[in-house]
Amino acid sequence: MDHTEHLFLLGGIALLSFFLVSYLFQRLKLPSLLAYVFLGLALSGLLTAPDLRIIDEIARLGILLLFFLLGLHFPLARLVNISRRVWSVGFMDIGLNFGVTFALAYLLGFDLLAALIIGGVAYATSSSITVKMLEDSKRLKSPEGEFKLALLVFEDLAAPVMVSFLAGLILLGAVTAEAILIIFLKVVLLTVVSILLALYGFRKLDLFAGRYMSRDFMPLFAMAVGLIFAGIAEAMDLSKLLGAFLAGVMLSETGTSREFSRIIMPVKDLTLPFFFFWFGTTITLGTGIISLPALGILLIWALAGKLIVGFWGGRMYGLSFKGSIRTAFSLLQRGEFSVVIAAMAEPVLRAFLGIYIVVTAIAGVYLFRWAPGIADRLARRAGR
Amino acid sequence: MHIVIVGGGDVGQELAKNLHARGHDVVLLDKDAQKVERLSEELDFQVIKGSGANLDVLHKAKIKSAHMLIAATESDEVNIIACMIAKTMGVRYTVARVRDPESAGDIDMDASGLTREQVGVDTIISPEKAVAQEIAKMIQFPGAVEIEYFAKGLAMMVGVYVTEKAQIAGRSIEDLPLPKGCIVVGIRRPDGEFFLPGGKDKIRAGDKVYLTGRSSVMAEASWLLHREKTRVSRVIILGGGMIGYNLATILESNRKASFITKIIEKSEERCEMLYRNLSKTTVVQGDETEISYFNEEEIAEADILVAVTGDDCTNVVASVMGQRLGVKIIISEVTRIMYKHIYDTVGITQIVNPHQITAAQILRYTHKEEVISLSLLKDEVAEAEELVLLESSGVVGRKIAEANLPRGLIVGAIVRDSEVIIPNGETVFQPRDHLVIFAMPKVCSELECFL
Repeated sequence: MDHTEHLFLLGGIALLSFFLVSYLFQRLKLPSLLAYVFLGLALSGLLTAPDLRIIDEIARLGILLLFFLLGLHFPLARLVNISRRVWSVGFMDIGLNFGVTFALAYLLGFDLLAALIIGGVAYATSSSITVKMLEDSKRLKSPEGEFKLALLVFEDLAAPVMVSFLAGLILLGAVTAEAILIIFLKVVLLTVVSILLALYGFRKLDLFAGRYMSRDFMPLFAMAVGLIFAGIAEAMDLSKLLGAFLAGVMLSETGTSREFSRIIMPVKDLTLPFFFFWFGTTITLGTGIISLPALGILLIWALAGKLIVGFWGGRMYGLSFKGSIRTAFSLLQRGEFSVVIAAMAEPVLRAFLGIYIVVTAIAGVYLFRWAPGIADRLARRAGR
Repeated sequence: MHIVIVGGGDVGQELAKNLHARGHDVVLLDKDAQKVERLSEELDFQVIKGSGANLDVLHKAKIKSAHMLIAATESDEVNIIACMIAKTMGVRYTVARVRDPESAGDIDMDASGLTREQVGVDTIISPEKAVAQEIAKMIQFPGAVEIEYFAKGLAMMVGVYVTEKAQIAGRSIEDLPLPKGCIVVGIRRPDGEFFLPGGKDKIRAGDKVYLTGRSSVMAEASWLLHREKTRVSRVIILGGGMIGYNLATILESNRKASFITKIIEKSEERCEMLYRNLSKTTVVQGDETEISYFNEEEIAEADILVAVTGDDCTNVVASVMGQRLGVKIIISEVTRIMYKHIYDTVGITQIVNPHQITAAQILRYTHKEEVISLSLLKDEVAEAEELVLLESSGVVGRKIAEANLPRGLIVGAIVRDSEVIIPNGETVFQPRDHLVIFAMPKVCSELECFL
């Protein structure tokens, strides 16, 4: 049966099941995000390729809007302010979570290419999970919220460079310095163009935006800006999330970001569950020879690496002791970016990495919730 | 000098009393009948009921013969209009207190595109900016309780408490190992006695010592007396209003000392504005009235807590909390000076009062032309002044020892061609010298007889 013929019925059922699991998890005091992931994991066998394609499209819209909304909170001045302090932490993050993981994997007996892929999978904290958790737990406005977001944005800037690096290595067997340079230049170009547009275009739209904000054509305008920039970024082989984020940054220069978020929010709430559902379906828990000790070691480092970045980086960024501890315990979860890199691996390794990602995602969500408690306890023990 | 003061609020009253005491001919205007009645009974100069933006009222105050008009009402618009009218009436010098500097051009630059002449205001005093500058001085010079800059920052005066640790207690001023380029100009004993010292006077622990000299050596000098170097890097500003915002801007522009500055502000809209306009400061949205989770831990790690929420109660609570959490330096804004005693009771000494600071700033513009700047000391009767020696001055060409300077006056420093000189008896006065003098009030009022 071709499922696409009954689009409304299936869509309704999907939304209903999202609603039900989300409600159930809420009552059980579990993070609703995991409800969608588990649902995806459970149903992945039942869905056909065309279904998945539709879900994938909606999912992309959802995650894109999440980043678009995030960008709305970052006017240019704030972005500059943050970037000044976060870059050193960002490089520490690459060194510890990509570099050290790569070295560990290589020492554990994986070949060079596999080790590089494992490093890539271990690198980035899941932006979607982190942002969603920050929103749900109302910690977006905490002092360390800004630092976490800054680090995520840095990772999203670095990630496309890393993906193309690895893709080039796998497809061509070699990476040319030119290829890396081109990607890097593209990132710079996109950022510079958006900044110029923000300063000389959107900043002048404040009267327009203020006047027509409540009209029915404003959502169209806002969505158009978001989608077009995400599309441009994607067409340039960069992260669409970066494009959407920059679109949000530009729109926030109109000085009406709050109204814009109010317009976009409902669409995001409808589409974002599809993303986590899709995330669940992509995880392949196939059978393979999995070396448990290797997995254990890598998982321990997955936590330790982010702990160091979160705590030490947080202190470098100027966070308080407790704030840094909360950050340290909120970065374990790996997600969408890791899935993209894991997809490049051989089937056996993919199954291995699937488990790695699921475990970090689930444990990460819980650690995220416990972080304030852990911070309080540690602070009391440290006598601060 | 005939001076018209518009607005009988805290600032206006303070100014009127002070200027009257200096022998100026003062007229105070206020539109509140009750206040006028009360002030007329209290004060022995003319208080007129009426708006400063009203021509008839200004005529009654003899605006045409006035040398100066100071507009210090709560309303920016009234202040600016009063100055405009005064200027067209031929008043030489106008000063307006303007809350929102954008409405009449900034202090430093004309943001609105209008020149001072067009607006008719010679000097704009923004209370919030003035307070921010005052707090910034306290932060940048943490050892001192009083700081004043002269000659474009080349020379300065600081007031420092001598601590037990300083190991100079009991020594006479001559024997103090002070760095070259600064001298002691005033001492206040713990019992409140204040005098201008000579070389034989001894310094004791608990004294408040005033030093003047080259700005570059002052940190070392005050360290010698104070012996408590306060390392300052984390600054928490509670309240992102105009004061907090201006303070953050000043701290951001200080490149020598890199502060980690955070502003905690509760209004979301205000936060948006701060994000937009501050480039280094971290802005945290939080509820400052509740002793909430995040604020407490932020404050606990701060070196300096600045409470400038605009609400006295919140400021007091925050300051006490900061004290309990062990913050080294707490600076608090007090909008109603009656609350000063509460701060004294809980032991918080660094307080700033916007009205007093505004009045002090305006006072600087009310002196004679050769005086460049004048500042009143916080607790003392004495004044510190910077003035320029005119060619016609009687002391030009004479040595200090032979200049017949009165008792109760010390020349703390001479700034000559951007060089700071610490004078001794042999120093010869030259025309266009900038003198930083430290004097008792009775000397100040007759200063022209000497210099």
